[in-house]
Amino acid sequence: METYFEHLINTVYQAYQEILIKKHGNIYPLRSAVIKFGGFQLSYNWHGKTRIGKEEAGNLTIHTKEIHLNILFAYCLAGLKSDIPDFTKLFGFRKLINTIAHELAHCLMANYKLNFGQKHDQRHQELTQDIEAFL
Amino acid sequence: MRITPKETPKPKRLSDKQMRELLLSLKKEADEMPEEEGSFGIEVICSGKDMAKSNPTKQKK
Repeated sequence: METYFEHLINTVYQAYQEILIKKHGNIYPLRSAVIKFGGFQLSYNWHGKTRIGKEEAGNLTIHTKEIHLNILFAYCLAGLKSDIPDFTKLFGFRKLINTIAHELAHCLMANYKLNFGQKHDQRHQELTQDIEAFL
Repeated sequence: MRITPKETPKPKRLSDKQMRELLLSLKKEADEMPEEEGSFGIEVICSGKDMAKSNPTKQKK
């Protein structure tokens, strides 16, 4: 299942960027080739999280991006019941798509400056909505 | 019996003009900022509150 999500995340990341590059040119200075799916983790206070990193090894600079999703999404997709109020609304398919789009928007913004990746501003909201509509 | 699916507003794609402005504003801001030096890592945790901001199904009152 984790391989499937890694493939999904990267396919969307690549396909979406290709469309933007065709229309607006290659204006992504820190574009990383892949996004790692860090796996599902249990949490009661977040839906998803993104780790953005920069590693310098001699003259080589590597930009890394990693997305984690709450395991409650996997439970909900598997049809498990929960005592959490509005469980299917909070962790259903629609919310999963929204969360993937939200985390991918962080990754895309980090392609410009790594610090941009932590913003939850208007531009991040607009990118999230556009990626969600693309999905 | 006819089943009508529950209608939820679908998010809309940005126009080419809006997207170009958004990308250029990011690039401009990035160009103006000093280069980030050294190795480092950031973890962005997205709570339900952050998600709600970018969810088109939640309308602001």
